[in-house]
Amino acid sequence: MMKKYLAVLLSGAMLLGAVSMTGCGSSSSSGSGDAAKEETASDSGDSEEASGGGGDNLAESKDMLTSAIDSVMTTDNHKMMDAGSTFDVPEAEGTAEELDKLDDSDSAKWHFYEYLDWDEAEDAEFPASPADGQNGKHVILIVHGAHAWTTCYQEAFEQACDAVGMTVDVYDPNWDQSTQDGYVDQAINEAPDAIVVIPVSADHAAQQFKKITSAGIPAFCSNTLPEADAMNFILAYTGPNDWYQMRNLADNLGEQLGGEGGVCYITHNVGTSPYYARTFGPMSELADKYPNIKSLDYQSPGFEAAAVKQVVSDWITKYGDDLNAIVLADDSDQAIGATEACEAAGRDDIIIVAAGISKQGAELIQGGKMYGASYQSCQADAGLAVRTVSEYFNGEDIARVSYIGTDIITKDNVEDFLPCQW
Amino acid sequence: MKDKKFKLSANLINEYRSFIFLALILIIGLFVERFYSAYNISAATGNGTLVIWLGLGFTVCMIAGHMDLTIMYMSTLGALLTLGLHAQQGLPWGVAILIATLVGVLVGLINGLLVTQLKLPAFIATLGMQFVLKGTMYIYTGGEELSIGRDYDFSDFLNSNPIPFIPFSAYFLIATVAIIIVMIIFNYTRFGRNIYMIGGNLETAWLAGIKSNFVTVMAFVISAASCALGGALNGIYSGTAGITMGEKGISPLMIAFTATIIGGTATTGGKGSVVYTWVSLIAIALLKSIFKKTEMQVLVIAAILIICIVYETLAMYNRNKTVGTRPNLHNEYLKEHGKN
Repeated sequence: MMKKYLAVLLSGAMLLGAVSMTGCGSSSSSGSGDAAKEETASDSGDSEEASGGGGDNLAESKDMLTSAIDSVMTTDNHKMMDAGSTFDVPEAEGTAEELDKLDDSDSAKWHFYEYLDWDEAEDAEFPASPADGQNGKHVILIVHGAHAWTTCYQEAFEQACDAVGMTVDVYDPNWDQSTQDGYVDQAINEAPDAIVVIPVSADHAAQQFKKITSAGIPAFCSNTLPEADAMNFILAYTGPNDWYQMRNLADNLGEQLGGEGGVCYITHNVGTSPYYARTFGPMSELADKYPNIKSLDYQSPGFEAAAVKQVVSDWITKYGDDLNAIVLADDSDQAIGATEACEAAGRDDIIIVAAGISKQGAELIQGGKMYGASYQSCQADAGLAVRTVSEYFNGEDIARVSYIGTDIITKDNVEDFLPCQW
Repeated sequence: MKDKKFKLSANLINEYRSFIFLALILIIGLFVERFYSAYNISAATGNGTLVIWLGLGFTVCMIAGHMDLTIMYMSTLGALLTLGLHAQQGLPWGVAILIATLVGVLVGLINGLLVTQLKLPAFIATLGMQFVLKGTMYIYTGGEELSIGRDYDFSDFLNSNPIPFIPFSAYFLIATVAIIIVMIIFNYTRFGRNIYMIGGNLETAWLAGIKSNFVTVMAFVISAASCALGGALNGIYSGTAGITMGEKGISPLMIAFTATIIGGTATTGGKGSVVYTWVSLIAIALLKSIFKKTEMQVLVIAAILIICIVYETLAMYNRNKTVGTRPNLHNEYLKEHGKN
């Protein structure tokens, strides 16, 4: 029994030792976020001194940014740090609960999924720009997880930061939500000049960005569209407009089908933002503009070619000649599975389109097995994020939401987008 | 005499290895920038608190001689139920947490009955229950994540450090109180001693008149209820919950298992302490602030687990050699044959 007491005493002593070393007394009771805020404030003062306190550094930073915008190119030879575009958010036709009752093919249903329609009156108090230039600033990038796309994004982000004189540390939580939460805390503890996050989960983004903003650190969201409420704690969102590019792709598909036919959809992972954008974006667009095109079915077999091949084979058997087109959420493994199934059934008349663009997707388009794909530049995604962060440090007005450019890739123009970025 | 002293200190080191592990982490922390900041201590222990609840459940079952593999999914179900009942049904947090915990009690009861009445090995019963829980979660949520929405108050409280001068979040402190309660039950009540008895030797416990089935069922109930409660609080603490929580990155089940082993709980049952598991889990939580890359965290935690299991295996082998013998006679025999 003595051992147990000794154990408890030992653990208490250790923790008290740790507590005494934290020297945290005065700030601890007001919440951990505030504690970090005070530490961050003192750190940003140091950073200001290091960067020369404004003036010269600001002018030099602006020159570096202008030069980077003109000179840094993506591997497929487009400007990596091009300006983003913004969209006006239309009026919602009801509350989220009311819209949820509408049919899947009704574009009004997806208003709050498609647009970052947040209440700006609820915005948190964001840290003011130091307006002393991005040169010499330190940024922490927290990505979502290991993937060929992520590697491409990370390298482009580092390249763009290097070009504008910023340093960057990258944390990869490997798609784990709690690990990403831990990294957000670690990043706050390190008190960088800004934190850029690609959230693992859109639904979880609000709490993560709330922590960062409460600590007095500028928070930027990249790539993954967060839930609208999260925007109250995000200085700026940059990334692809998945809904717009998929609607664009659907318009093109509608023309190819001559306004008639049946379409099936292979989705992204259920519940993620691309799941909604890449399934219900084209579905509602076709329903709006081509009433004679019917959406037959949508399935979520995942990203394995064999599983997708099985689903598409079943569709061909079930719908026969009524199946005229397939929309895919991914142009690599999903596209391979779908094209193999069509080939095996001798159905080269089925038009396949996908969200892109990967090496496999480009090869399928070149080979004529897939009609087209949307162009979503991974490197421009990273470039726009770095540009926005830089503009913030330079004291410029930044758009709260800005999107990278997009295009439709078909056999006619695929050469303009090679070599693929990932 | 010298041998005896050496053995004594070796035993002490083994007994308090979780504390040595924590001390090691705290010493290494001296060389890590901002390790001893209030924010880091509070955030690291707060983020590690879910696994403290899981470790509590896992240790209780392991002391009773069983393994509960449902702990991770039980905590996820607890989180999803709590967030769903609050956000969709509009129930107050307290009621939602209570219902989630009661569901945990029910799952623990079923696990316990499967093991005691149907005589299924706990490993198989709880492995099967994992899939039942996962299916239930898919039906309940349709695969979507649930969040606290804009209701930040309780979440902010769990994230805050409520005691002045102490850099620990309310969520961590609640888990610590739960650990102390379970420690008191295990050390000072007949029920607690009975759990050690059935874990150490089920037959002897039965001969001693202990209602072993009841005690086993209760061990599973404590395990599942603590995981459900911990998961419920974790959902509010982090603001969201999803079905795949913990399936990627470092599995919480693996961390709970590692901490239980480092804490000295015998895999065969009958020995262990939730306090030692708690200390190991704090050390693992703080370790993540030192090794910031996920791959390094996995490597270090796995290496520590392997060292502890190898030690346990060797110790068990040595113990088994002396089973049924009188140790002093056995040692004399070894000396006579030049084997010692």
